[in-house]
Amino acid sequence: MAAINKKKWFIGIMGVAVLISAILFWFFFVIPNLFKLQKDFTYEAEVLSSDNFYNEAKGEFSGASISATKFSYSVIGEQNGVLTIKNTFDVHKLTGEPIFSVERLYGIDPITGKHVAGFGDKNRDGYLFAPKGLKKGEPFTYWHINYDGPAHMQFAGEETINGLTVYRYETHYEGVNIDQTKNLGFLPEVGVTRGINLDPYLQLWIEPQTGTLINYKDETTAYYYDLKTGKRLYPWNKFSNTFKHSSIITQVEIAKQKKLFIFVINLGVLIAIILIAFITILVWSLRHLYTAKKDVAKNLKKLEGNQIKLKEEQVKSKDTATIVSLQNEQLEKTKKATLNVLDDLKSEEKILKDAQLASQNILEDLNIEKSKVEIARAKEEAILLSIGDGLIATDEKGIITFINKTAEKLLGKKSEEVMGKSFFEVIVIEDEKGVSIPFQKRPVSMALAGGTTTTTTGPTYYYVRPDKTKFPVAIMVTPIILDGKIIGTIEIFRDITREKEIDRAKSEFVSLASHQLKTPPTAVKLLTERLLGGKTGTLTEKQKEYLNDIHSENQRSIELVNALLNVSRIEMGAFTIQLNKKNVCTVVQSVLYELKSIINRKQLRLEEVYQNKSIAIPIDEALFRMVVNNLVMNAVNYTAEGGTIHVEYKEVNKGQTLGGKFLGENSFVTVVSDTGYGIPKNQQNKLFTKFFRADNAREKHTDGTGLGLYIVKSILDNSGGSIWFTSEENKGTTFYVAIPMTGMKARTGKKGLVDI
Amino acid sequence: MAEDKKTKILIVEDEEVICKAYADELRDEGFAILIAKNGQVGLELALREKPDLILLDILMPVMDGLTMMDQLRQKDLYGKNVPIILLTNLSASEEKIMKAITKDEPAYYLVKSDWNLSQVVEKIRERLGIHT
Repeated sequence: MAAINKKKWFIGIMGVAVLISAILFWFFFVIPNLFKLQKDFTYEAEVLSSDNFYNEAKGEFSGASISATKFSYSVIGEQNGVLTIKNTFDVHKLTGEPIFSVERLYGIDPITGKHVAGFGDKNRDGYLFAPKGLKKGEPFTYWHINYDGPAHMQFAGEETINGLTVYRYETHYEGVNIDQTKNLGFLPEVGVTRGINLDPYLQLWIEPQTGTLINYKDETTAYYYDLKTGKRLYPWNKFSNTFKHSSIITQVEIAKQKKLFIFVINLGVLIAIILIAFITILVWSLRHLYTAKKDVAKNLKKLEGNQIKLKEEQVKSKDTATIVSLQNEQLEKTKKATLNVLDDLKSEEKILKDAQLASQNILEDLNIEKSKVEIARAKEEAILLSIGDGLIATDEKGIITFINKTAEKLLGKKSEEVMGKSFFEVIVIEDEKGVSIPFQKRPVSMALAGGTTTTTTGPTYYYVRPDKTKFPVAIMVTPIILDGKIIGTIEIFRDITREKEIDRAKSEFVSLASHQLKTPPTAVKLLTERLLGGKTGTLTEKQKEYLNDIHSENQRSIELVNALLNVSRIEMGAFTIQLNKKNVCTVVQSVLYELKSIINRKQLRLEEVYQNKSIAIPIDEALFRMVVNNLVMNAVNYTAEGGTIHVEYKEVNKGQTLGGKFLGENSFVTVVSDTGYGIPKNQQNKLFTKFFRADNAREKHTDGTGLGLYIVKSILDNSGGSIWFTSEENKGTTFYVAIPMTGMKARTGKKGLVDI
Repeated sequence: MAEDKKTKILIVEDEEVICKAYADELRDEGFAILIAKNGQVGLELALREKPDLILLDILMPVMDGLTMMDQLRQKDLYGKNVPIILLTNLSASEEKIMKAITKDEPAYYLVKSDWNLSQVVEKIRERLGIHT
C-alpha cells in the first residue's frame, strides 16, 4: 500500500509542477510574444491641427486656421531585435497643400514598446505610446513627435469612449524646454536674432490593457524669445492638435479587438487547462479501471471456482431436499393426527357439556344433602352439649366459642356468661395450695403455644367456681389445626374429686396397711432383741440360734412390707423426688461405711476406686442411698465368702461407652461389681421385674424379696438416671448406675419411698 | 426415792407389746419410765410429770402423736423444750410429719421397725446429752 501511495504522491507533485511551469510559461513567454510589435506594425491617425498666429503689428492673435495632419507610425527596419519605427507628423492645408512635416526615427523594443537607447535618430526613453496593462494612476513617459522631448504623463482621470474605458493622461512638460528654433528656421529672424520655444499642454487618452493610444490632444503656445537673452518676446502661434473623431473611433475599435483577442486567448488557455486536467484525471481513472478490470477478472475466476463448489453443494442439497420432503410427509401425517385430536377434543367438549348438566343435577342433590347434614349437625351439637365431661372450645386467641352443659354445671357458669370471652379470664384455676396457675402453665395456653395436646399430669389443678368452691380437674386440651395453623383448642375436663379421693384413700390405706403390717414384726423384733441381749437371762446355744432365726425371719417380713409400700407408691406414681446438691462421692462412701460390718462378716474384700473425692450433683439423697445400698447388698448377698466387691464411682463424659452402653450425656457413674454367682443369661432380661428372683439366687439367698432391683430401676427411671449390668454365671456381676451430671429430675408426689 | 433422781422418760404408745419392750429395756438401762396409751393421756402425763424425754408414737387412737406434740409445744416453757423422739412405723417423708418435725422442734424421728433397741437407747441418751 505504501509503495502505491508514494507513486501517487509523485505523480501528483509532478502534475502540479508541470501545471505551474505551464502557467508561468504562458504568461511570461507566450503572452508577451503574442502581443509584441510585429514587423508590419502601423499606426495612423488623422489629426486636426489649428494654428492661431500672433500678429505682431496688431499685437493680437489673428485667429485659428485649421489644417489636417497625418500622424502615423510605421516599421522601417529591424536591427538586433530592435525595430526602427518612423513617426511622421505631416501637416497639410485643408486643400492638401503641405505646410510642414516632421519625421523622426525611433528604436523600439517590440515586446515592451519602449524606446531603446542607441537606436533611432536620438536616444529617447519612455514608451512609443503607453505600457500594456497600465494601472490607474501609474505615470509613464511618452515621447511626442512635435516636442521631441520626454513627456512625463500624469494620470488625469478615467473616461469612457464608445464603451471603451480609457485613462486620460496629461503633462505640461514641466522642466522641459521645448525649443523649436531649428524646426522653425524658415520663419523670419528665427535662428538669427530670435528663437521659438513652447509652452505645451499635452493630453493622451490610453486604453490601459493594451496600451493603445486612443486620442491625443496638445495645445501649445509658441513664443518668440531673444536668442541672446533667452527672454520671451511675444507669442508666435497658439496651435493645437487633436485626433479627428473618426480616428478616435478607429483606435477604439482597434483597441477593442485587441482586447477581445486577449480575452479569447485567455479563455482558450483556461479551457485548455481544464481540458488537460480533465484528460489527466480521465487517463488516470482509466488506468485505475484497467487495474480494477484485472481484479474483476481475478474475481471472475474465483467466482467460477465458487460456482463449481456451488454445484457440488447443490448436489448435496438435493439429498437434503429429499430428506426435507420426507420430513414434509411426516409433517403432513402429524397434521392429520392433530386434526384427529381436534376432532376428539370436540367430542370431549360435548362430554364436558353433558357433565356440566350432570353436575348441576348433583348440586341440587347436594343442597338436599346439605340440609340433611345440617339436621345431623344439630343432633351432634345436642350430643356434645350432653357429654358427661366438660367441653370448652376456643379460637386461636383463647376466646371461648363453645361450652357444653357439663362444663357449665361443673364451673357454675352459664353459656352466655362465657361465650366470646377470654378463657383465661372467665375460668379460674389454682393449685392445691390455692395459688393461681400462671398463664404459661395453663393447659389451654400451652396447647396454643406448643400446638400439641396438653394433659394435666403433674400437680393437681383445681377449677374455682364463682362461689369460691373448687374441685380437682383432669384437663386435656387439644389444639385444632387447619392447614398447618392452629385455629383454636378443645378442652375436655373432668371433675376428679372422686378419683382423688380414691387415690388418697388408696395411699392412706397402703400407708396404714404397711404401718399395721409392721406392728407385729416390730414387737417381735424388739422382744427378740431383749432376749438375745441377755436381759431376760442366759440363753442356751440352741435358744440363741432359734431366736436369731426368729429375728432374721422377722426382719424379712419387715423388709417385705417396706418394699411393698415402695412398690405401691411407685405404681401409683405417688412418690416424691426432692433434690439437693450433694457430694455424691461422700454419699457412696457413707453407704459403704454403713455396710462395712456386714461385708466384713461375710469375709468379703471391698475395693473402692475413685479419682475425684468431690463431685456435687443435685440428687434426692435418700433415694440415691437406697440405690447404692441395694446394689451393694445384692453384691454381698450373692457372692460367696472370700469374694471381692469392687465399687467404683467417677464422672464419665458423654460419648463414652461403659459396660456396653453408650452414654449420651456427662454422667456420674457408680459401678458395683462382684465375683459372685452371676445371673444366668436366659434370666437376665427379667432381672428388673417385680418379685423376680433368679433360680441360682433363690438357692443361695432365700430371703430376698425380689423387689429390690425393681424399686431401684423405678427410682432411676423416674429421676432421669439409668441402670444396666453385665453378668456371667459363676464369674460375677457388674452393675452400672448413671446419674446425669445435671442431676436427678425432681418429682412432686405425696410420699417418699421407704428405706428398704 | 431413787426413782425421783432417775431420768424420766415418757413412752406414749398404744401397742402393748412394743411399749413393754421399750419400757423394760429402758428400765434396765436405769431410766424411770412413764407410760401412756394414747396422746390424750400422754399430754396430761407429760404436763404433770414433766419427763426429761418423750418417746412418742404417731398412730394412736383418741389423739395421735402429732397432735399431742403440737399441743404440748404450745403449752408452757417445759412443753416447748422437752425433747421428743417420734417412734413410728409410718415413713418419715409424710408431709405432715415433716412439717411437724420442723415446726415442733426439737423432735427426732425414728422408724421403729428399722431401729433396734440398743440404737434407740443410744439415741435417747444422745438427745438427753448423756454420754455413756
